[in-house]
Amino acid sequence: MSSTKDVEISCRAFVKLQLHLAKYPHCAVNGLLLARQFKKENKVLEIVDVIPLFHQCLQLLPMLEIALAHVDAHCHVNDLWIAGYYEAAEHLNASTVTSLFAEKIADKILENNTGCRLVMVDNKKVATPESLCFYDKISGKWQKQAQDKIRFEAGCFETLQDLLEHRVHKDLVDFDNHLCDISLHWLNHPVNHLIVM
Amino acid sequence: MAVSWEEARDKLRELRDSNVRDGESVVDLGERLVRKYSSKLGDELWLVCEQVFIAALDVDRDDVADMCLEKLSSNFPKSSRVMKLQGMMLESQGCADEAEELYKTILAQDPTNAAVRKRLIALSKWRNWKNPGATIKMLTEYLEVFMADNDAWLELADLYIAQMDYDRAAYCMEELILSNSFNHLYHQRYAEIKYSKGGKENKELARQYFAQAVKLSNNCNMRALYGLLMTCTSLCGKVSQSEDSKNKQYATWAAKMIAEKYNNTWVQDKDVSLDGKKNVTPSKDVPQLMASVQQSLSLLNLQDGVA
Repeated sequence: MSSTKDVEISCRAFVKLQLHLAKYPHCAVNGLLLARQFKKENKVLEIVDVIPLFHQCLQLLPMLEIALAHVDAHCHVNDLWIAGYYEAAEHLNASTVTSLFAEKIADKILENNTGCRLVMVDNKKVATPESLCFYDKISGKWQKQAQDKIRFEAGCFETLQDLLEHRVHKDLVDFDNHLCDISLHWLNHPVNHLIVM
Repeated sequence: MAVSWEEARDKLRELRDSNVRDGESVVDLGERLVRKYSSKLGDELWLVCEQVFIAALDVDRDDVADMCLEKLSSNFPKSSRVMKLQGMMLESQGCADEAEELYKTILAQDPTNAAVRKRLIALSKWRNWKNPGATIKMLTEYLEVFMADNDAWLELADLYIAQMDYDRAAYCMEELILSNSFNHLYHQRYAEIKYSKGGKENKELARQYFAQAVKLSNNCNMRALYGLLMTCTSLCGKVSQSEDSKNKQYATWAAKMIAEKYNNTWVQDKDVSLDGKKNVTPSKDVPQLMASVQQSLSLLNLQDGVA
């Protein structure tokens, strides 16, 4: 049994995930967490980026498979790996227990990405760092990771507040948006530039 | 920066017609319109009031919601449409029981009021989020009466999809395709459901419907193009040899169409797209993005080699 690594989340990853939730407060949403390949042996899992995927009919597989192929290719070119899958339920009071579908997808990603996490969003705590519940697969089961094992880059909360005030969440692009209009890209370069500034 | 009242009115009209749920924009545009320009709007004021009211509930702006509801209630004291809005106000305040009672009173007078029946279903969806079965039952009963309500069929399909009940979801889409046989979005969604169900026969069916969606959309539906590519590559090696070569042919065609679309959007347009608006993706990022598209397309076609 391997001990679970601590997780560190970059400002960019945290902010983009929260912007995705803010753009579609009335929908269930999902997406992927990315980490650097060459740091895979480090003692801490550093999440550096987030790819927002869908906000309608999450449980349909074809476009999810397409999205995974795209993100895989992006990871391959940029020396990254898919280190997690996140899902937020539609209902405000929904529990943060892992959903059947989320487990199925996370298991699938885990096959090729050892150490991948499952993140369920606690809708009632949204926009705070505590809204992200991390699960790790230990001895065949997705088990919740203690909150004190999850760290966030300094200043990420302030950056998020600032971007929400400027309504940047409207400009965030997920894979659903990309499929409707391919000139919008799910890497969200324009939003990335704003987060750095 | 400031929008003229005419521009605000036109923008709100556009949002009403397109059915986009964007409470923030609607309240931004509509608040000033309702407060200061209500006399200029004529009869359109009431539509705007209703629109801004619902948007205000969505973004938790009680002051704006109150103002709109007051205007509507004083002008249409007995309207069931305004009573429905009062019910929605109750819902937003967490008074679900009171809202339910109000809706039932309206229905007692007017049993065919579809909008109010749908509010009751929405209320049930909110209350019974742990047990979608109750909502599904209400929605099917509603559809027995209002069979032509496309949005309701779609909602029912979504509820089934959320439970991964792909067979029942497919049935809903069949109903929609029967009554709207030229809508490519319904064909595409049906194909996605069949693919998700899995198995060779379902994938073959999915391929047909993706192909039909591509045709009906004039090769514009990206989901359908990707779907066609996916189904063809995943069917390769699982069917007879003559079918196999057809699948390869379709997959190659779909991949070519997809690559072309990305080329047209990103490479040739530079910083400004065809309709004149600034491209969101800066041109210096395009080579990297195109490389990743090419890579993923070849990744998808690779499956065909492995199979």
